[in-house]
Amino acid sequence: MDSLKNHFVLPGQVLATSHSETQGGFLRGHGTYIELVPHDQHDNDDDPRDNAGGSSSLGGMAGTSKKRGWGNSSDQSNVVMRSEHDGGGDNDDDDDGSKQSGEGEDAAALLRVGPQRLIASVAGTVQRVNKLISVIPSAPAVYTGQVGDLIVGRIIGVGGSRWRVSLTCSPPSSGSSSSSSSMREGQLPLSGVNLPGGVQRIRTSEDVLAMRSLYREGDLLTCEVQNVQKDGTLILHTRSLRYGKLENGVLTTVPPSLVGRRKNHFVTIKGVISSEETNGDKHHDDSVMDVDDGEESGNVDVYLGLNGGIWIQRTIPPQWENSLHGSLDQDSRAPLAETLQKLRQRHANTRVSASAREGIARVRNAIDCLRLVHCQITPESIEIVVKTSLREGVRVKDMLRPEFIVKITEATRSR
Amino acid sequence: MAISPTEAHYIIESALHDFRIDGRSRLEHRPYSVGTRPSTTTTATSSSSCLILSNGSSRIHLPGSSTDILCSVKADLVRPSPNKPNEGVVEISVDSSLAGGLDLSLGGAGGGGGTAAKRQLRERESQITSLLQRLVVPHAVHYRELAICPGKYVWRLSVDIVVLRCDGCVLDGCAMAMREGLRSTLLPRVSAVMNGEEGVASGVGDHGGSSNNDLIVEGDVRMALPPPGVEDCPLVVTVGVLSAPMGAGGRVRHVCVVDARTEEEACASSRVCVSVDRKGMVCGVHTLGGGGMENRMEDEFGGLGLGISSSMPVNMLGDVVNTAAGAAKNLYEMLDREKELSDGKDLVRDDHDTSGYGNLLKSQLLIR
Repeated sequence: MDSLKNHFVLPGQVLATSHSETQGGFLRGHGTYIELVPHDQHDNDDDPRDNAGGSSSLGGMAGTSKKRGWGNSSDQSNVVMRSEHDGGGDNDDDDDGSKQSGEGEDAAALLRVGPQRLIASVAGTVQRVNKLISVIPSAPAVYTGQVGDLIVGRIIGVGGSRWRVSLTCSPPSSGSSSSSSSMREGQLPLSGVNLPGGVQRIRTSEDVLAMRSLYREGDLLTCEVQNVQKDGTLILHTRSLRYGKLENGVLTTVPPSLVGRRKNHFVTIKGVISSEETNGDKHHDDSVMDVDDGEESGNVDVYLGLNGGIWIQRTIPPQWENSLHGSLDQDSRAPLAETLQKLRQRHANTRVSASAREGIARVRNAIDCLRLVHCQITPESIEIVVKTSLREGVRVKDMLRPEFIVKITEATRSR
Repeated sequence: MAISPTEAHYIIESALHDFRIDGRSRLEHRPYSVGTRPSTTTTATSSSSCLILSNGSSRIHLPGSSTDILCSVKADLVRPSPNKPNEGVVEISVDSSLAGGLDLSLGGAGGGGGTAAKRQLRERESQITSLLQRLVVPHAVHYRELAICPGKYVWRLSVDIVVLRCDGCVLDGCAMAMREGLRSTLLPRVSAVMNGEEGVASGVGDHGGSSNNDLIVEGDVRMALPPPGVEDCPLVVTVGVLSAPMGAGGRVRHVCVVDARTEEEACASSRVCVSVDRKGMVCGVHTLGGGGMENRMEDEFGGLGLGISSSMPVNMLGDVVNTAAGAAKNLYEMLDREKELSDGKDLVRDDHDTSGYGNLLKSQLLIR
C-alpha cells in the first residue's frame, strides 16, 4: 500500500479496488472518483481488456479505466462523479447512503453493488491518509498561494482600508465565475504597505483617504503573500523595498503551474540584445521625458510571479546608482530606501531606448513561446530560448510563428 | 480591460518606435492560421470544411489558440421576403459566451454579477453581429445570384460564428472566419422547374399535390460551387488609434496600429473598423469608442489631455483608412498563403512537421 504514496498518476488511472461489500476499502479524496467495477470485469479480473490491475490490493496503477458508451445498460454506467470543488466534508460520504438518497439510481446502485474502484480524475501525485486517498494535482489551474510567494498582481479595487489585488492580472468583470473569486483575488491591507518616506506609524484616516495616491485601480505591483486565510484568501504585503508599483515595462501572463518556486524571483536575463542592433535611434527628442543615456547593458529584468504574472523591464543601469551617489555627496549616508525610490522614479520617467525595447520584446516572446510549448519558465529556459533565437537570427516578431516556436524551444523541450 | 497608465505609456511609446510589445511593426498582423480542413486524422474526406455537417466552415486561430474563432455556414432554400423577392439571404449569429475576457468596451468595466454579466455578454454579441451586418454582409455575396426561382426559392446562408477565445480585434477575426467559411461553402446546383401555373401553386402551397413545380438538385459534389461573388467578401481591419501627449508644446501624437492585442486595445483612444474588399475598396467604416483610459491619462500627464478622449481629429480619418487598406492587402495575401498551405500541401506539411507544431500546439489545453 505504501508504494502508492507519492506516485504520479494520470486521469483515469485506477488507484484502488475494493472487493468488500462493507465498503471498508478506501475513502474518496480530492482528485478522484469512484466507479463500480463492471460485472464482467468483476468476475474475471484477468480480462485481457482490463489491464488495470484491478486486484484487491492498492497496487493497481498501470492502466486506465475504460470508457464505456453512454448507451449501455444502466448497471454498466454507474459512474459516481461529484464536483471537485465540494468541501472536504464529503470525503466520508461513501458509508452513509442516506445522505445521497436524492441522487437517484446512481446512489442506489452504489449501495446495491459491492466492488468499487477509485480512479484518479486529475494528473498528480497520490496522497494517502489512512483510508483517504486523494490526488494532489501537479499542475493546478488555479493558483493556490503559500506564505512568501511573490505575486505580480493588478489592483482592481480600493476600499475598506485595503486594496483588492487580482491574481490573474485581469479586470474584475472578465466573465469568470464569481464563485472562485477568493481564489483569484488577494487583499493588500493598508497596514501591509510602506508609507511614502518609510515612516513607521499607525495608519490614520488620512492615510485611508490617500490610498489612491499609492496604488490606484489598474496599477500593477509586486507583493508577497503574508498570510493565507482558512478560506484560501491571500493577505499580501509590500513591506520590502523590492516590492511595489511596476512601471515602464511589459506584463505577460502564463499558467501558474509553469512558474516554479525558486530562491529568487527577481531575475536578470543577460545578453538579450544582439550586438549589431544596438543603434538606438533618438529621433523623438521633443519629449517631456529624459532620454536614456545610451549606456545599454543588454540585460532585462524579469519578475516571475508565482500567480503566473510575469513582469519584464529593463535592468536599471548601475551607473544611475553611482551618479545618484555622486550627486548626494554631502549626505552619502542617505538611506537605502531613498536611493531605491529615486532609482525607481528615474526608471519610470526615463524613456526606454529602442534596443532595450527590442530586448524586452524578445524576452516577452520567449516567455510566450515557452508558454505555448508548456515548458517551465525559469531564467535558464528563457535564456536558452533567447540565445537560440539570436543565434538563429530569428526576428522578434517571427518568434511567435509556429515553425519558429518549435525551432527555438527545441533545447528546452528536450531537457 | 483596465490597464495602468504606465503600461499604456509603454505600449504607445513602443508603437511610436514602430516596434510593438511583441515585436511587430504597426501594420503587421499576427500569424493567423486558417483551418478549412478537417483535423488531420480525417483528411481523407473530400469535403473542404472543418465541420462535417455544415455546408462550409472555417476556423481562425493564432498559435496557442489565444484567438480561436469557428464559423459554420448552413445553406437552405427559403421563400424570399416579399420586398426582396429575387435576392438571397445571409444571416449571422455570433456566440461569444465561451470567450471569457472578450471586451469590445462598449459599456463600462462594471458589472460583475451573474445577470449583469450575462446582459453584457448579450450586448457584446449583438454589437458584433450588427457591425458585421453593416460592414461585411452587404458585400459578402452577390445576392441576386442566390435566387433559384425569384419570388419562390432563394438560398439562405446562415452564418454561425463562435468565438472560443479572442485576444483583441474580435471583429477582424469574425470577418476572417466568415469570409473563409463562405469561401469554403459549396452549394449544389439547383434548378427549379416551373411548368405549373404560378397562381395555383402559390395559392395551395408548394407541396400541394396539384402543383408540378419541382426542384432538380444536382447530386454531384464536383459540380457544387461556392456562392457567387464570395471572393469579394470584405475583411475588417480594426485600426487602433493610440494617442500620446508629448512634446513641450502640448502636441499630441497619434499613431495607428492594426490587429491590436488586448492590451493595445485597452489603451487605444479610439478604434476604427474598416471593411476592405479584395480590390482595396473600402466597404464600410465604423468608429468604436476608446478604452477606459481617457480621464486617467489626463491626470497622469498633467492635464495635457488634448485629444486624449475617445475621439480623434478629422484629418486623422484618411490616415486611418489608408492604414487599413494597406494592412488589408497584406492580410489578404497572408490568408491566401495560409489557404494554399492548408489546401494544397496539407499532406506534405503534416508529414513534414508532425513531430513539431502539429503535436505541440494544435491540441494544447490552455489552463486559465
